[in-house]
Amino acid sequence: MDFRRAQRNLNLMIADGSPDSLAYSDNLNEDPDKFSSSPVKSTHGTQIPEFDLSSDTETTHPPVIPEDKTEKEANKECINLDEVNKVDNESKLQTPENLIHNIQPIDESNEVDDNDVNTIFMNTQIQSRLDDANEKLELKSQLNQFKYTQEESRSLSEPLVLKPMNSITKGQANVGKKRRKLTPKVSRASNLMEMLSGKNKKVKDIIKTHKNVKSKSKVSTKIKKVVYDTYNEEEWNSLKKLLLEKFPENTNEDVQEMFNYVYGEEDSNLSSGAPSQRVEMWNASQQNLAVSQKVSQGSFIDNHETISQKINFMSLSQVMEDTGVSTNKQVGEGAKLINLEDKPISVESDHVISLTNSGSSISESVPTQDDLYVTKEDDRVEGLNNHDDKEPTLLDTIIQENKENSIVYDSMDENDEGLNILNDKFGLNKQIFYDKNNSLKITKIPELSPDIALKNIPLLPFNTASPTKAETIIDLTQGSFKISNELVSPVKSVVSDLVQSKESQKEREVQVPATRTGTFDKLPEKEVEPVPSRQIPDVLLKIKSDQYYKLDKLQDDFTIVHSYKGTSTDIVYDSYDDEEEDVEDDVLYVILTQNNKVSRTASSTEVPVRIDTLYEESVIVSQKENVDDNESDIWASQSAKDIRINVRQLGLKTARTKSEMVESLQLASQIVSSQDINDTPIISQGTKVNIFNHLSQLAKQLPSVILEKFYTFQPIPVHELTAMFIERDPFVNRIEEQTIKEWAEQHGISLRQ
Amino acid sequence: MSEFTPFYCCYLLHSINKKQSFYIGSTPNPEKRLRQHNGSLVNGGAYRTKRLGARPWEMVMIVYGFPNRITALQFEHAWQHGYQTHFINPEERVVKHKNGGRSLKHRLGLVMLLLKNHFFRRMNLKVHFFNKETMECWNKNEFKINIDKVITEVSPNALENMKSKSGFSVDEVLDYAQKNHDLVGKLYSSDKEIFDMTLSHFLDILSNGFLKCDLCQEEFDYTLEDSESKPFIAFCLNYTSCNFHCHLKCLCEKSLSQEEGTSDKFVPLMGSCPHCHDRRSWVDISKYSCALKVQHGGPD
Repeated sequence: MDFRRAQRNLNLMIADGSPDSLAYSDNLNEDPDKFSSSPVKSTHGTQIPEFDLSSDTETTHPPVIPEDKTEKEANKECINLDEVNKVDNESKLQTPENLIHNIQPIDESNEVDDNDVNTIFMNTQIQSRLDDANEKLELKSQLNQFKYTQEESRSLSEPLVLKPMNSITKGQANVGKKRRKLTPKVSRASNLMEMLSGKNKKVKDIIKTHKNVKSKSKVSTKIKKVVYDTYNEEEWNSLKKLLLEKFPENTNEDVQEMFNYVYGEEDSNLSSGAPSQRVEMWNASQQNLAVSQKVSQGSFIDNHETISQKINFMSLSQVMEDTGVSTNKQVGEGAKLINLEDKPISVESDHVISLTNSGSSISESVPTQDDLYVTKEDDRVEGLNNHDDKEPTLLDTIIQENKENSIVYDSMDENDEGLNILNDKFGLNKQIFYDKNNSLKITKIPELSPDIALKNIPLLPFNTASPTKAETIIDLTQGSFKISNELVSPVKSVVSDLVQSKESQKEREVQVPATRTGTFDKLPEKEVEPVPSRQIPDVLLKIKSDQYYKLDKLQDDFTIVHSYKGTSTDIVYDSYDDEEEDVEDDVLYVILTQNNKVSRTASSTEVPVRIDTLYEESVIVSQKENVDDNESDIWASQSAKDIRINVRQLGLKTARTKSEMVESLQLASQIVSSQDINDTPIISQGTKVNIFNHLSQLAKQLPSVILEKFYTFQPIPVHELTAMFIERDPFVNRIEEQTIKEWAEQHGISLRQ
Repeated sequence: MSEFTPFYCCYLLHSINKKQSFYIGSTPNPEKRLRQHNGSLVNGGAYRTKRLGARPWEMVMIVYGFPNRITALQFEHAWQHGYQTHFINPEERVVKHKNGGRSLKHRLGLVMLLLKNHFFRRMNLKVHFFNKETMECWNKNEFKINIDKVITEVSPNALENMKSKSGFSVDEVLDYAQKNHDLVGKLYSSDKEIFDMTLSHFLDILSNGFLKCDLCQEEFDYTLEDSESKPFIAFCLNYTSCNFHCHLKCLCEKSLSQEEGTSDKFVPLMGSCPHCHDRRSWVDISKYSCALKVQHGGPD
């Protein structure tokens, strides 16, 4: 083909008809050595630029290279020309000289017009690109056999067609992405597939087909068996077809051998379309589908292929924790239905009890064979006694258990009549109940209208919040075992009243163990008023029980503010002696305050003396201390924020701790009390006047040199002035610098930093 | 003492071309400073007044009588930051925002409020106007600020604002600026002349040697090298007719004793001569006293 291409190029050039080209063609046959002597020209034909700087004459004839041609392309053309030469050698058995001749015409392009040269190069360029394209196509066609499916191979060979996204807007697409991110729910099967194969594309394809099968199975009542671990039956069939197509010499048996090699011989019957009796390879969760199919095909309702089932699960922990229920439940051996009255009902273990609590149809099937219980085939369990004779017992929870596993089924809440009504989707309303003879009864009741049925049928016994359909379905193939979103058990609600009543009784019966410290009782004979915030008690008396009568003597001068009974060891916290415990007497602690009619002087001098004489153990608070305590208590009772405001108003420095600020205020109050003639509390004024007066008093004590500076308006550094003040009164250290500045400004004293 | 300056003022510049442009500054030499602002003097910082179109500047008023540079700077800063200075009662502020109060009446209102402050009131500051309309605006007192005790002066040939519908020629503007400059220079030079003349008179008295304080009768001699014998001396500023001299300390105590409610004061507002009863501002009295001390190598 290359030879043909070369010939065609040559013909094209010859057919061009230009004298140069003719001459060029003539030159091919004339003198082969004529042009070969020029290395520059020979390399020019190969499009390889050569920069020989040895000769000026050569540099005057630089190789003609198209502007847009890269070195890579030049190399490609060189290769193409070599290929052409090879073909020529094979066909015509040309000598190397001839080979050079074949190239020479291109070399002659220097002497020909530039247009011709360009056309030649263009031809070679086009040809090389065509060759590349052909090579690619060949390579792709060879690689087609490695394609996974025919569809993809088709898609590769076919040109890509961009399909416009009509329905999806940008916003919707974003929402979809966000949702995907928020709820990255990947099915368990897809997870498994992904982990196993590691080929995403392959896995996606499998999942897609898997989903398609699922969706088909939902639509149609016929449930397809899933018996293959990696590929389902359909996929295997297609694989088999493909294998046989690719390897027509192989027979069906060979494919079977391959299958056995991959999956083992025990599954060989499956590949050949054997019924699904095998055990799943991967996990038990995949068994469910098969078993569920069996269940669905079970004998609960024979006349129908699909069953509307709803089975609610209660976790074991939930059951165990529910003490109220556990007292009423017993799990019997075998399949038993246990009621609140401890009456298990034996049921044949091969039947499924399918309970519905509403008319809603739930088409999902129930898990494994081992996990399920089947009802009688005739879907009726007749008790020994008729329900009319005895009042049917409430069936709240049915716990069934076989030898391997046990799952607690929740069935119904009690209705008004104490009956549970099963309303299947076929209009068969059934009453399930059991009597005291451990017999389960399922009887038909007259078909009700939907409204009436809904009224009578209790909704979702486990979840009081009436969960949705999806929430009540337990799909074991989806994630971990999910029992319920709510841990509120209906059983709990049933017995909640009882429990609450018991708890309330317990609460009433709570007895706090007695402590060794005495609990203070109020004096029964006198009502105790709360101590006013600003009223500080004057005297604290400790009176022994045998001296209570002495209190009457103090009633004229004092008012009992507070009193409490205690033991003599109440005050002694650090030394607690067991021996004293026996000896301790009841003591009455009395806080007394002075009556208004008693003057201060009298209270501070005479009364304590009287008390002292009467009671040796009295604690006396002096009147003067009381006043100071008043202020300190006022400040202490204020918040740090309020104190800070007060401190600022007074022109004092604020501090981090409350105690420091209180201390500053106390010092300031002392200064004021010593200065203030009117005995006005500093807090009440809330100005800096008193501080200013204090500073003025201090300034008068300053040396005359400083005073000269004052009246000559010589600026004084603030820190110097402050230091001088502090020398005379350390309290100035608690005064804000700004306060000192303000004082100076008020007195016309110039300060500087 | 080294910072002693006989004259220090705060001034208000008003752009002749841009009527909305003002500038507040302080200087011990307003004449020189005005030349700097207007670019007549190359040396000296006048960055803010270099803006195109604002020159030439007119010094419409000054506040002078500051006892030292620091108080003048305090006044200047308070004037520039009238919205936040502690020298103005927050309830009385006429300028409440940083970008507010750029008009002449606001600037003058701030001066009034500052002069009301007890600190500046003690200095007996004087307000001198070089522009009649500025003075009228002051007298108008749009903010109704109590300025009873503020001393105001106006130059004899105070300028009136240029009024022309067709604009001004360059020569007219330059002539106007020159006139303003002359007025400022005249005030400054006259004040300086009076100060120098008075000071030279007192120095002559001190050069006689021993003198006695007319109040405490203690002797002092400024001709001695001993610094202790050179106390602050106060002379009667009415020196042409009165020859009273005493310790500044003695006069201060006497003045304080005469003032009411100054039991805990240190600086009197006024000082009166016991002989001629000439009452002068204490700032003026102390100014000469400090100047004498400085002239005779007093303490720094």
